Amino acid sequence: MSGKTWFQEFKASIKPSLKEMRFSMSRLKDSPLSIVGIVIIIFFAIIAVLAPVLAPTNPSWAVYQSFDPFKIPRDGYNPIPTPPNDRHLLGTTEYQYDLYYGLVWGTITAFRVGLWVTFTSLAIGLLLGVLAGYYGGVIDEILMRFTDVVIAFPGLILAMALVTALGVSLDNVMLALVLVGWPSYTRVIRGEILKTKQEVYVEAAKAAGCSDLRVMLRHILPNSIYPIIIMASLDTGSIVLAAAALSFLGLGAPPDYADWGQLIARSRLWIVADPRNLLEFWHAFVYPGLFLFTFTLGWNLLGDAARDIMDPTIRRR
Amino acid sequence: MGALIETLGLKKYYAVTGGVFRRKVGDVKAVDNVNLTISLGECFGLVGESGCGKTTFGKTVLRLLQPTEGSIYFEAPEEAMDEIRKLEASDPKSPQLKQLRRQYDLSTFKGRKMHKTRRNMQIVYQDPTTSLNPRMLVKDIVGEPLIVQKLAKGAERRQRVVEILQKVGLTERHMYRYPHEFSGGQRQRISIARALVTQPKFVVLDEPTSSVDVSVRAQLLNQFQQLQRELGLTYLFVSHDLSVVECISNRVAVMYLGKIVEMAPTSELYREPFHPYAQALFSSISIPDPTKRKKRAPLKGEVPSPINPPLGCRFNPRCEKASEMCRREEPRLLDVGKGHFVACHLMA
Amino acid sequence: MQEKDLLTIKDLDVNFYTYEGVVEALDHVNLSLKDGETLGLVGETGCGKSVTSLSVLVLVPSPGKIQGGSIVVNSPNGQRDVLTLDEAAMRKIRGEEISMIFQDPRSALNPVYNVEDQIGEVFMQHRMEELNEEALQQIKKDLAESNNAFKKFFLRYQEGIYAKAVSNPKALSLKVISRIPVLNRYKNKVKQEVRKDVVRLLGLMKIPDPERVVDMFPHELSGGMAQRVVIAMALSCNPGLLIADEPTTNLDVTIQAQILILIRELKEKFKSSVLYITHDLGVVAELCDRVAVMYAGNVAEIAYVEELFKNPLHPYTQALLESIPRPGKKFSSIEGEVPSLIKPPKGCRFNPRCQKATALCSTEKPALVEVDKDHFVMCHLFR
Repeated sequence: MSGKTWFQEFKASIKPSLKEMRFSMSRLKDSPLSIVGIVIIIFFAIIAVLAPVLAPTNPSWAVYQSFDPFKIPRDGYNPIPTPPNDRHLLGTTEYQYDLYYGLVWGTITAFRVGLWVTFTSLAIGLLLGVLAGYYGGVIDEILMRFTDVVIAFPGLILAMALVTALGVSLDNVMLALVLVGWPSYTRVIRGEILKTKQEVYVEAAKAAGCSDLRVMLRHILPNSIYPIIIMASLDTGSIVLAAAALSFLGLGAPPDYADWGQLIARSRLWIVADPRNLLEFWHAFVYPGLFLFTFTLGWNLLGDAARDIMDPTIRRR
Repeated sequence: MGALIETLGLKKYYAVTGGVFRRKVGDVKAVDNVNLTISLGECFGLVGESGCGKTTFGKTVLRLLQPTEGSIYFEAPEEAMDEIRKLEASDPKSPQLKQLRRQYDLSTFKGRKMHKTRRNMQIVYQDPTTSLNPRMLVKDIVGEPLIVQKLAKGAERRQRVVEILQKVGLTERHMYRYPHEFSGGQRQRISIARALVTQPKFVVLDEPTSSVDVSVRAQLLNQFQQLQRELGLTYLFVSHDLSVVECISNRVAVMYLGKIVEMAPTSELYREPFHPYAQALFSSISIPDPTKRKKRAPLKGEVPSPINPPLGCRFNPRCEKASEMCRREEPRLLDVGKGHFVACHLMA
Repeated sequence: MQEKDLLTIKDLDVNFYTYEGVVEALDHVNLSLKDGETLGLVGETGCGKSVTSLSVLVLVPSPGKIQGGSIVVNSPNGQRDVLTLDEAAMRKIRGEEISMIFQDPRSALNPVYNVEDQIGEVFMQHRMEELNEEALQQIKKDLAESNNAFKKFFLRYQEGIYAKAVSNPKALSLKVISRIPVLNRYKNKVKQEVRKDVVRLLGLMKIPDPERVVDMFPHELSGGMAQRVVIAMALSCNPGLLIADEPTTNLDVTIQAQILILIRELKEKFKSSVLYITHDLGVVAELCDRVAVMYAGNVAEIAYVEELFKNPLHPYTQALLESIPRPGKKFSSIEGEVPSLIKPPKGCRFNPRCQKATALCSTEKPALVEVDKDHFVMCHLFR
């Protein structure tokens, strides 16, 4: 048989994986909620990408010019939020910050916070989990006990303490969430690696003479990564929620920053208004809350979808 | 023909830990003092039931498991082996022996040396479904030993993979598929191809036909014999299927609880087993002939745990012919002529 | 169908609806099992023998569906087509009239319940009335013998409950009391009876020291013992038909020999018929009275076991018997592979691999005809 060209070889190697992917997609079709989840995330992604178009910076009514698109423009200094009207599509929150602008640019912030924290926690968890799982013994013991200590702290409280110590800012919030979040990834990865280590094909690879590194990268990791992916997508939503909680407590983004949690924080004093018209300022907290809720829901459904298509026990029915 | 593999006093114990501080409370004596010689070019059958240690033995010989004690001599010439045996008996601590061991004894090999030796010894596992990485294409699975052993690159590697796949009865088209797209018999062939791609001299076949159907079994056995002839392989055929072992092996050894109880050329052993356990084993086989239904009494009891094997001869609690000596003293393997060895006091 | 047939499967069709397509697992399967005989069902992986046995109990897992045909069971309660029954009626049949044992004994047993609970569950599911009555008798006996006033009070209380249970098992008061923590201790009486029965049953299975084994958990049992426990569970309610799906494949040779002899003895003692599924022709020769050979979802040949081994008619059966390894002989195998059942071969499903195939074999499916007395073959060579 004559040798194939590099391209032909590549095409032939990809074909079976494509077939598998098509099978995965078809499984997705069976689950309407997964599709809802995907649609939600795509919806938010579009908003995030088109933010400069949807909510241009420096609108005519802005009180001062600013070059940072994440600073929400304000229309005056009145502390009382104004309801939705012609100038402000969704109304304004306390001190006349435009809600619509804040929500649109807040989407970018939400993605940034969620994805960055998740990836970093995952990276740390992967590194430590792999070390603990593959080598076992003393390394495993030390790492696991350390992990246990960190998990023992209540998450949100520890994050609060860290932010207070490091200084109040959104970046420090993200850092704190990473420091609180890495242990769960470590544990899950370690467990999966322990399980995969026992598989016969791992021993077969060692019989052929594979080095430890090769066994880890080529044999163990690809087969143990799926629960992590599921966990990561479920986590992204809750990370954004946690960041919003910290912002609500005043430990997150600065007051005029485009962040959903910050917007809810701004509405704190206006949740219950004058007894004659209790929910007069509903727009100030309902809209940001809705965005937050839907975003988290989307990631949760996405995580479920990932589990449905990747879980080997229900995959091949 | 000289011996390809000779094990002397091979032991593999697993420590049993107990108590709060995880101290060693005992040993699982999976392989206990086994001396075996496998000649170049032969197919050596190793039979026994589950828990007898045959799989552990096969893996220990390949150094997939670390031997607790004993030596595995690989490709040692006849004179060297004579020398070694002499020194083992007379002066086990002599530096000469140490040097010989460093040269030929697998249990002393480390690092690079062991890595290079691995290309000469390979294993085919029982269950092809779990012994192939489900996320790797066939061409990568079969090509991996070549990469790891640095034997071939690029186009040459591809060529060798294609060749070995064709030798086991698969085609080039099969290279670009995942294992789960194949049937059990085909997966086992992929497993065989992976084992043979580095052109090893010695292959351990760990129950390779147990997980496949009867008709596929015959195909695989034909394949094994053909490959042995074409590539000059030596096999250690581990199995609990006595009829299969009878057809493919030159010599057979029967193991029970980590020890060899009987060893003989195949026809000799199957014609007349001497050890009571071997006799019980052979009479338990179901013969596919309804006219030959014998009303035999089956072996009583269960295989005891290898953590606390019975004292004396390990088979004595289940043996109908056990005597007082059997309960006290462990029998040694005795030569009863025609290459037939038995470890039983009744033979003395 | 004759009067003495315990089980008659007629034209059974089962399909599996998978992503890759519709797998035509069973295609007009015809089988019958006489009262008191052991029928062996032989075939290779994927031939449909397990699916056939699961269909008898209507336990085919999704995405499988029974498309058509009838499975008539001749029980003491009359003749019934199992496929027409509803779930509640089926539940009464499973375990009581037909029971099944599976290949891996350790996974057939629930790891968190001990032997007593597991076998006891079967008893309590099917024999509740008898157990209640036995308990009542026991209590009456104890009442007569006892002198202690406290005990008498207790016993009278239990007597009342059991009398109610015997007369009206579905009474509301019973349901209520059985849920109240202290008052439902009366159940222990039944449990004691059950324990006695279980120990007796284990003894029948030739399990040494049944009193001790009864309290053990599945992971403490060896393979052979676990399989005996599973057999005990299956035989506990004296079913007329026992379906055994490769029960000895995972066991050692010597243990297999023990279990086979046990099954033979139990068959005599319990007077059940056995449908024994296996791929091991040696076991078939050892144990079975009649044999049915299946290939790719069809029954290829049915005959008495001596007849089958002496005079196999279907080319597949012949090839199968040829491929058994025999020393000194070269291994002969069957060309090709078992076909995929998603688009099975037209006509006779064996024709692509058959040495004696004719043009007719690839167009028309043969029917199961009786060639000799009680020797059925599905092949165009015999019409």
